Formats: sequence, C-alpha cells, structure tokens
Amino acid sequence: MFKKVIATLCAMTLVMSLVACGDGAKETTPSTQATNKGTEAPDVQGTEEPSTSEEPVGPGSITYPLDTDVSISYWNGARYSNQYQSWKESPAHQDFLKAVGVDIDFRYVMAGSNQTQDFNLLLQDEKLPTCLYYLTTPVQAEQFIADGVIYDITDYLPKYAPDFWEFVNRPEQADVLTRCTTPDGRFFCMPEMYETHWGSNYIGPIIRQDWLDECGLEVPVTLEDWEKVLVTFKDKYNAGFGAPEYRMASLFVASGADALGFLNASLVLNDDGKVVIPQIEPEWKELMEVASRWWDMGLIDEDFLTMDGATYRNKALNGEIGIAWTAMSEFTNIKKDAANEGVESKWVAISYPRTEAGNPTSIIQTTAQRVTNTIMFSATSSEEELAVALQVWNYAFTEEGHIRMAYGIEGETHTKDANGEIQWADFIRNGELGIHAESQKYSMRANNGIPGILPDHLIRLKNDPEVAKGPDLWTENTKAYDHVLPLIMRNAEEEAIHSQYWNAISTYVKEETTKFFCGKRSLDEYDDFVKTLYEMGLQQLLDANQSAVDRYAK
Amino acid sequence: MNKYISDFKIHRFKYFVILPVIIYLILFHYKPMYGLVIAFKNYKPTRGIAKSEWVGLLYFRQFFKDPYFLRILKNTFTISLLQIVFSFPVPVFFAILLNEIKVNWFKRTIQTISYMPHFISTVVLCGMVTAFCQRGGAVNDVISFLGGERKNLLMESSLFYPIYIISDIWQGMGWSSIIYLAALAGIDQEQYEAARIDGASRIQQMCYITLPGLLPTVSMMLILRLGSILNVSQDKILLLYQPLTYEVADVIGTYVYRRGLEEAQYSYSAAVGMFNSIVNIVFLVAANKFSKKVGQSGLF
Repeated sequence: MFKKVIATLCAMTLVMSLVACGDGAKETTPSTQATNKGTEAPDVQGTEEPSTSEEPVGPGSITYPLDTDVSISYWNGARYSNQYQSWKESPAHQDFLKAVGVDIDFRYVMAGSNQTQDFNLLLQDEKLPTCLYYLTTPVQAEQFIADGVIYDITDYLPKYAPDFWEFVNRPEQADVLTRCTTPDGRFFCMPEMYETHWGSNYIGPIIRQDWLDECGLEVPVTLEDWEKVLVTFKDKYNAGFGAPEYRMASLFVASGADALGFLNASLVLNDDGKVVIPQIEPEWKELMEVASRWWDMGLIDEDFLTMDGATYRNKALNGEIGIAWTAMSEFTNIKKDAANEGVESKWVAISYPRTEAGNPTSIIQTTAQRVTNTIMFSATSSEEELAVALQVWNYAFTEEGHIRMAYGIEGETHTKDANGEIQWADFIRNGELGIHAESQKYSMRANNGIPGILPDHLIRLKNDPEVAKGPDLWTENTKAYDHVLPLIMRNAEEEAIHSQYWNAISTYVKEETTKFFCGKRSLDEYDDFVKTLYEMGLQQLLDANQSAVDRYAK
Repeated sequence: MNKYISDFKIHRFKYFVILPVIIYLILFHYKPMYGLVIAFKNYKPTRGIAKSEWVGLLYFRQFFKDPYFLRILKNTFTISLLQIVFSFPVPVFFAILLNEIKVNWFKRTIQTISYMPHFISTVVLCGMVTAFCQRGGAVNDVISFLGGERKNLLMESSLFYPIYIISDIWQGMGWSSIIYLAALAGIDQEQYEAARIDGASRIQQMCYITLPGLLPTVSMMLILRLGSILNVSQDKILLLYQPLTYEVADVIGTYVYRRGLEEAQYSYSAAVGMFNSIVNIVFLVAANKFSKKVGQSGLF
C-alpha cells in the first residue's frame, strides 16, 4: 500500500513538473518579437484631431469607460511576449481594461505555434471569440463574410466606431480604407497599422563599429567596401556576414544589384509593372554572382540554414558575426545580450549597400504596408457583443485612447518635455529590464496585436536610440514600394491555378537558389533553372496573378 | 447466441474492464473515419463536411500528377526502409546483450540511461542535433581533431540519412528494447539449465534458446512496423531539413504539411492521408501473409 501511495505521488509530481515546464517555456523562448510582423512601429503626435462634434453620433460621441455588462473575448494570433506569466498581470492590459470599462478575455496563442494553422483550426469551433486578430486579405474576407464566419461591419461602424469611421475616411488614409474593405467596398475589419511607412522598414544591416575602428576602416558604402570589410573581419576575427535563413531568404534583401528577392520565391512587380518572381530577372543573377562568390570566399556564416533566433544571438554575442541582418527587435536583443554578459561590442545600423558611391542604396527590405494586421469580428457573436467590441476598439482611434494606449497616463508613465514631446517617466527609462521590455509593461501599443495606430514616436521611445536609427538609414531608397504587389484579389479560377502551381514552384525555387548560393550548383546552369521553372507552369502561375493585378488596377 | 450470453455472464468483469478501451477505439479510431469523406470534397470549414461540394478524385489526381510525387514517395520509402534495416534490429540485440549482464545494478543503470533519450521531446532532440552538427558543434570538434575539415553537416544531403538514423537509434533503442526484455523474461529457465548440462556454451545458448524464444515477438513487431511503412516521423524531418536536403529529406508528410496545413488545403491533405493509409494496409496484410507462409505466427 505504502509503495502504491509513493508511486502515485511520484507520478503526480512528474505530471505537475511537466505542466510547470510548459508554462515556463512560454516565457523563456528568446527572440520574442522577431517572428511577429509589426512589432516595430511608427509616430503619434497629432494624428488624431480633437473632436468638436456634439452630435450623439460622430467622433467623440462615445464616453469611456463604457457602461456595460457585456464582456467580449479577443483571439490574438500572436504570442503574449512580455515579462509576465500572463497578460492579466500586465499593467498595460489592466489600465486598458479600466479605460474602456469592458471585461475582455484576451486569448494569446502558445509559444511556437503558427498563426495560420491556429486560425484554421479555430474556425472549426462552433462559437468563435468575438474579435479575431488574423491577417486577412480583402478577398479572403469576402469569403469569410459569405460563409458566415465574420460580420460585415460597414453599417455598424458610423454608430459604434465613429472615431475610426472619421479617421479611415480621411483622404490621406485611402490605403488603409482599401485594405480594410472587400473588393465591393464592405468593411470587414479594424486595422493594426503603422503611423507612416517609416515603421515598415524595420529590417536592415548592422555592423560591429568597434571592429571597424580597430581595423581603421570606414563604414562600408559600396558593395566593394562591403567585401573589403568582410575580408578584413574574416582574417582578423574569423567572423562573417550572418543572419538566419528566415531573414536572408525573404523579400528585398539588399543586394547592390537591385534584385527583388533572394532565396524565396515571391510574387513582385518588375520595372515594367509585370508580375514576376525575382529569380527570373537579370538583376537576380547579378546578385547571386556576388552572393555565391562571397560564400566561396567564406565571408558568409555557413550555419545560416540551420540557425534559429537563439543561435543567431549567441553568434552575435560571441563575435562570430561582423555584419548582420536584423529586425529592430533582434537588434535590441543583440545589444541587450552584450550588455548583460558584459561583452564589449558596439553594433550600429548602417545603410544598405550601393553599386557605386553616390548611387542610391540598393532596394530595401520592406513590407511596404502600413496595415500590419486585420481584426475581424466573428459572426457567432451577438450584435450586442459586436457593438461593445467596436466601441472598445474605437477607443484606439480617439485622441485620448491613442495616447493612453501608447504611453499610459500623463504624469505617471510619461511626461511632456520642453518641446512638447512625450518622454517616458524615469522608472521606465531606467528600468532594469531595458527600455524595450519596460515599455511593453506600460504601453498597450508596445505589445502588438490590437487595433490602432503604432506611432513612429513610440517606436523611437521603446527602442535604444541606436536601434531607432535603423529605419532612418534603411528608408533611404523607397523604390521598393513600387515593386510590392498590391493586394492580390484572385478570383476562384485564378486561385485554382495559383494553388495548383505555387507549392511545387516555390519548393523548386527555394531548393535551387539555395544550391546556387552555397556553391552546390553552378550559375552556368542558370538558364536550365529558368527553363525548368517554365516547364513547371510558371507562365500559367504568373498569368493568373497578372490578370488579378490588372483587374485591381482598373 | 446462447454461447455468447453465457460467456458474457461468466466473464462479465473482464468485459467491464475492457469497456474503456472499446469506447476509446470507437471514439478516436472509428468515428473520425467519417471525416475521410472530405478527401472527395472541396472542404470548407465554414460550410461543414456535409455541405461542402463533391469533387470526386480531383485531389488524388493532383497528388499523383505533382512534379514531386515520385521524389517524396521515394524518400518516404527510403527512410522507412533504412529504419527497418538499421533502427529496427538494434533494440533486439540490445535486449539480448542486456540479458547477458548478470550484475544487477549495472544492468539497471544501463537500462535507465538508455531509456532517457526517449523522454526528450523531438524539438529539443533536433535542437541538440542541429547544435552538434553546426560548424562549431561537438561533432565538428571531433572531425577537426581528427584532421578533417569543419562544415555544417546538416547542409550535406549525403549525410542526412546517417544523421537521421543515428539519432533515431540513440533516441529509441532503450525504449523499444523493453518489449524484447519482457519476451526474454518469459523464456523458460529450465531450457538454459538443460543446455548447460549438455555442455552448451553461452553463444550456443544464445543462438539456440534466446533467439528462437524472441522470434515470435520480433516477427510481430516487424509486421506492425511494416503496417506503418509510409509513416515517417515528419516532425523530426521538419526540424532537421532545409532546402539543400529537400531532395533526400522531403517526404509525404512534410510536403503535405507545407501544402495542407500552411495553405489550409484540408481536402488535399486528407486525400494524401488516405493514400498513405491504403499503402500501409497493403503492406500490413502482405507482411502478415508472408510471416504465416514462412512458418511464423501471424497477427491475424
């Protein structure tokens, strides 16, 4: 009997410890923001005009906190990435609930899950949460409305979200309006967005300034300079150019050759406005010639394909990388690691390379989208819940709400300096967790995943000043915006063609481009590569997307 | 009929005990079979299974016509066969070797150590493998110590199978040997005594008593293993592969994952899953027949 009791206790302890481990893992995963778009964001002052309207319906007509017993739920496809075990302990969330006067059940997803997968699985439920935070295209949304998944909120907005309604109908917000409406003009969401395009250019190169100084080198400007610096770094420090595959492979990797992409297949517009994949353009081949030469010379970190966020940070910390490719949040983490470990290193942001001094920088990596996410309202919610949810998020578009969600309460968490600019209170600025994490504690907006505008000024405030310089340098060549495909609205027929070919083609592209890069396939075979792509149905794929883009242009 | 009723009356407690298992099987293995029908429909979660439109064999045709169909089928079979050839026999030999150890504390210690990797989650295990295989990793330290050149081992397509199989053996060897140890414990000790009196050496005892005693269990496990020949552990591959090793590592499971779950093409995934199951059943039945034919007992 005694043995049985002991065995049962042991089993329970084991189970409990597993449960405890599970919780802990949520909080300890490194690189918390790196995988979520829109963590780095844009500026607030003066985006909202004070409302003077006295009408019952119109901007400013809703009084906060709301007087209601209705509670709502909010499904957030992002992970709760803060210092607290749960959002319930976060002062920013608590202050927000107090400000709007509604009980909101935030449902964040588990660490390591995939937003798309989670959302697809969520849709199988009979009763969906009130608010659905999920990046949806207008065409998808049209289908969601037709299938009875989400509300068409057009008729509800003027009454329940008057401040948002006024904001989104301003002429200068036309891009937001298009993004939030179906092709036939019905509103399907409220946006999470950057204040300006500046915030969407949050990825770019950084360098070890202290090494440059030690070697007596200038900040590299042209591709030639880059190569010289990389060779010196390799000889002296055995360190190269490094970044994980997910940074290197995506859109608009600076090239100096103005290629429109690197390892991944993606749909982009070329100079003639035609839909292409970057790999069939001549600039891409030029870029690959440079890149594969650098690989042969050993200037690029060989582990990039198997590198995850944690390894990347370790390599930066241990001086195995001299030039890196980062998002602002990663940049912050790299600096924080060095400070925590007492490592002497000075990382600074630098401009994208140029073909020749005096030329503009090469095409930059950007999302070129101000709207970073769409928040929809599930049709399984009652109209009452919808009304409350709209009013809650309308708060983000009122002047008071915008400021309070971004910076907390004046006099407590922030003050205005002599120039009238908002500054964090000292306890946030000097908090032990560092400015980024401390800001997240008190700024609802600094935790991504809710409707509203992310001010440029907040991005500067929540980041180390050196990190905030990044987008200034990386925004230099905005030609990239012209190459980003507008929102694709494929009809059913085009969609069928697209989905038939896309998977095989993108697999082939990724496989072969990586081989070209890593010297496993000679660039002499480039023409064969392109030929195979067409044999696999590339033309049909591009034509289907071209016709969708042409229809959009009309 | 009366026979069944009286049998039930005599053994009602046993029937009662097995009830939860039967309920489990019905709930989790039979009821979901209804969902297979989405392989023949253009399934939209919002419309439900019943209301989604029929498309016949469209997704099967798409799968068979896919440019990568042959490659992923070949890779799946290759990895599965390598596992059967290399990973499958190891626990058998390990169990026999363990059985020969007569010092009890030593035997226990070895057992415990060999079970441990089984309890490491695949994600952590693959993280370790990745770290070991990196340029500055432990394996490369050894290679460079022996005078070899450092390189990221996971980038070499020729090394993918060895890495996969070796880590597979490392993780599963101890755990899988449990069933064989149980079978060994069931061998009559008198047989060994008689053999010893007749002057059989330990090797002879192993060959003529231990191995034949194990054979029914081994053949049963092998039949079961063949019944899942197309089920390669795709999560492990997902965590270890990258574009340079797609050509040897991309299997049905990973390809369907990229297409099915990431692009939400449920029907397509269901069609491929069904294809998978049919191939598995064919292998299971064939292996069972074969086993009976060569004189071993079959499963059914």
